[in-house]
Amino acid sequence: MSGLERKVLRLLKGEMSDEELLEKGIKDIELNRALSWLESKGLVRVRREVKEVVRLTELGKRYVEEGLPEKRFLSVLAQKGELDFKSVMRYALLDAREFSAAMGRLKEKGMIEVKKNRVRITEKGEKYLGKESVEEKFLKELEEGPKRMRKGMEELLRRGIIAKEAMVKRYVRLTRLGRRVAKRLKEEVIEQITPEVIRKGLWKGKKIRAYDIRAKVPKRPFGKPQPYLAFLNEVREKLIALGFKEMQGPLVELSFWNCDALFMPQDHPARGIHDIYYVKRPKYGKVDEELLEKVAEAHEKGVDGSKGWGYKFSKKESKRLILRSQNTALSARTLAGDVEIPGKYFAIARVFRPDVVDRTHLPEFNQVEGIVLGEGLSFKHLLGMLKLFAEEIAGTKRFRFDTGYFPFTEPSVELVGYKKGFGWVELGGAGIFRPEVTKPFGIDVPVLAWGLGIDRLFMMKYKIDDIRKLFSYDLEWLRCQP
Amino acid sequence: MEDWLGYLKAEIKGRKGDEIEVELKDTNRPDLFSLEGIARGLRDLMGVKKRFKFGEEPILEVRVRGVGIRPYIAAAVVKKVRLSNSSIRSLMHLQEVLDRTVGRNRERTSIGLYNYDLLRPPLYYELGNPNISFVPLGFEREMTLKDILKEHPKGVEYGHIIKGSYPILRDRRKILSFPPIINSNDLGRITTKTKNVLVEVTGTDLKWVEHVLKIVSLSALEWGKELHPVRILYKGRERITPDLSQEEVTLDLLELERLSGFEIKDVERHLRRMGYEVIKKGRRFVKVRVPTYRMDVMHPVDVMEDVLISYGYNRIEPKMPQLPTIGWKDGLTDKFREIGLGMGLEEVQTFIMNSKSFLEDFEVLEVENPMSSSKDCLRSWIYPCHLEFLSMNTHVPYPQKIFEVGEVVQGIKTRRHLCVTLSPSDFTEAKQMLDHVAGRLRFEYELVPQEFPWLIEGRCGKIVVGKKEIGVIGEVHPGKLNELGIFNPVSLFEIDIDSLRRFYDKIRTV
Repeated sequence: MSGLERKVLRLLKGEMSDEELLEKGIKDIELNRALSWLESKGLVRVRREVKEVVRLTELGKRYVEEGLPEKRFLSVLAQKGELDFKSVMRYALLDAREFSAAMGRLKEKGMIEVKKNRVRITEKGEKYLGKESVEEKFLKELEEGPKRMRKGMEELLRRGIIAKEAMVKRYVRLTRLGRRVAKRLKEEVIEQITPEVIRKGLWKGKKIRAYDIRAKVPKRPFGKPQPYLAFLNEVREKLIALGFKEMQGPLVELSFWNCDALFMPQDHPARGIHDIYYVKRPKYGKVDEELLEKVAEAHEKGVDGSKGWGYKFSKKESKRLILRSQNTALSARTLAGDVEIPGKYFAIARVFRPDVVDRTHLPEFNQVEGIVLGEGLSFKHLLGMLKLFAEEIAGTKRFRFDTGYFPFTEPSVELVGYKKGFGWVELGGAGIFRPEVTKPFGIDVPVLAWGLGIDRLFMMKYKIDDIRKLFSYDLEWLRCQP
Repeated sequence: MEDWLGYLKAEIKGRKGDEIEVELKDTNRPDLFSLEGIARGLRDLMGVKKRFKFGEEPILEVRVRGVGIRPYIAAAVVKKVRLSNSSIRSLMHLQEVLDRTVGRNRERTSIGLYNYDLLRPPLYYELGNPNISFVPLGFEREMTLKDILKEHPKGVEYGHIIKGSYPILRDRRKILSFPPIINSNDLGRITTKTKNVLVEVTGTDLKWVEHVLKIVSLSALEWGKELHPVRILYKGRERITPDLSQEEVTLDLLELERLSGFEIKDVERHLRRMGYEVIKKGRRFVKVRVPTYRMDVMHPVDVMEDVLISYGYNRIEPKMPQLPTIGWKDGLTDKFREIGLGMGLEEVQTFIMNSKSFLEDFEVLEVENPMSSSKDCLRSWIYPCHLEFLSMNTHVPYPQKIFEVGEVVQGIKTRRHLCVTLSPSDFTEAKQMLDHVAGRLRFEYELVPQEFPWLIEGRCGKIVVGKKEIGVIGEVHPGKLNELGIFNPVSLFEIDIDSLRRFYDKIRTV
């Protein structure tokens, strides 16, 4: 005899309906299975009655969740006052049919007033809106399961919100044999390990009922890390293990750190409104004047044998507040601060670029960038680091170096790697900071700078083709991720 | 081909028949922004020579008469051209690209090409009467300058640049163009029959005007045989354009070796391949002339990169830097993530940008140039973003107990917050968790009743540590939940973890 059968036998007292049994915590399918076995063994007798009931249709389910059209109609009016038809449809999210049916009904009941394509809620309507109607109460009850049809609810049927259904009701009672078996069960088998069972040793000489350990259990959520953050953290730990120190900085940044300190000329196209978000208020922040002077000079006249850009540098523009658009800003701040030489620094941080959200674009995302500085470092070392990133972080042995361009590095290089299933993909960019970047900060050793396209790596690893998933608002999806 | 293009920082993006689409990565090399420029680069790389004749004396004069708003002009004449439809297309493309990029949408510079043989010199660059008329390119009828601004598509697009004044370029008889808007339909039309071409650039920045002229005239020269200069007469001074003089750069081979990390033999050959002219070679120093069309060479490192590119990045043996550095991370975020996960919460990551209309009850920092109204400000608290998150997941099984360690911006300051949002839940559970957090960090807090947007008055308040306000705790108002379509009670708390650093520093083991 299965555990289920035992459970049902033990529960039965006199004649019980299937509803009563379900309330005792047995699932529908389980009950069906148990009853058919018990019936065939002659332990129970099942009496069947066919009844007519009503249940929620798909439309009905939707209305229970979103509210009945007439209620939505009224609540929009209550919030916004008098409205034209179109606005009502738009705000209440009603389609044309729902709208005209709801309007007819509400007008008939005097809950709204219609004048020349404009509607207004009446006092009666307000009152109706404030409380739960009998229909709504009934629909909520139906959410728990089919119920007998109730008087006054015919209209719901007509509207297709509920539908009729035949339901078989079963009444179960034990047979004589069943009663004997049930009695023995109660005596000998331990069902639950209660504190009493443990303390008093009630298990002794008895059997502890076996479970069907193969049976499925209901799902429940547990605490877990967000997958993209977990991935970023893995990369972060790896960089720390490689001797890198973490850099941090503000999201609301000065044009100075984001661009000027990186030798991007002030009329550079990448500084326009299509590439950088500008703060509305306040517009300007503070920059260390001495440093500003040095950077201005690098732009205007050049430093260390450079010609510079040869234009009139605007200090005001440099103080403009923007949203950080590249984490190289953090490297610039580090170089100007208490930087260790030799030193290795990195940042995994948020940057912002004006974009409309779609499958391949986000106006904010995370970037991994860093610098390595020290006496005697060269292009060879830069390639050595990129090789390490390709192998350790991107997980590929096949990679190559392409020429590249960044306003703040010379020479510049791009790391391209082969990923199975994707082909050759750009993994990151790097270069040696131009002297025009490092000299104003008084840095005399080479500074190797690098950045990795970390979002792309994550998307390849998780087989995602929609970048929005990185900041997923889909809890169901998040729960399924490893 | 792919390998050759790599030397010019170009990449093949697509192929169609015998055409290839090329992406140029170096935005600082406008001289490569054309078929002609790429051809010139490839020729140097392959060691192929092509000879042109460069005229010594100006063959044309442009008299400039005070065009205040757009004061500069430069011009050159390219002779004996043989143009096909595709070469005309290529030159038009270059013109468009330069106008858009270095020309900053024609504001800084704009280019015009004319049939030289139809001109009656000298040329005048001056301000015109808005009521004079000519036939603009692409039209059959005469239009006044005023009407061009209103009716011609280019006038509508670029009219704002001239700010109410009307610069014109004309010869003794006719108007050549109305820069930077449009050329005339006859003089300014280049066809396959055109033999000699006048190239002209106007703009607001002399250096760029003359540089763009150099690029365009040298590109046009690729289809012709001779390039002749033009005399520009400004009030009281003159300039001969294009100025094809070349800058000289001295390359220190020791510096090159330091930068590369190894010794490169045959530096001269690499320099020549990249278009440089070697004029002096010593043991330590090499003196080169930079190609006249290169404006990006500002410092010897720019030349060194070219040597490395010619040598081949992939021939260089990578070497790991051996530096005695110690890794370090700020463990504050990690600590709070660990606590959140330990409480069995599901971690989420929501956007820092949000919409002002959604966050209307909060003080937020707005951006001036949003791309859409759904992303036009930065959040100052995480909890409204969590409610947005819950509102999008009402169909997903409950309980939904989430947390996030993320950044917010208050004023213009970036702060890191921990936000815990629980549903279905109540104040007690939120406070139990806050107690747990306080216990883990060993800080004591006080709750002071205070109103917060979206929370129930009387069931919410600020979290105070010492004398400092560090966060908020409370139950979300049913009205807000109803509005968001969330039908389970929600409680939450949010704390500024940056302000708890001193407690973290005390409990930290390493």
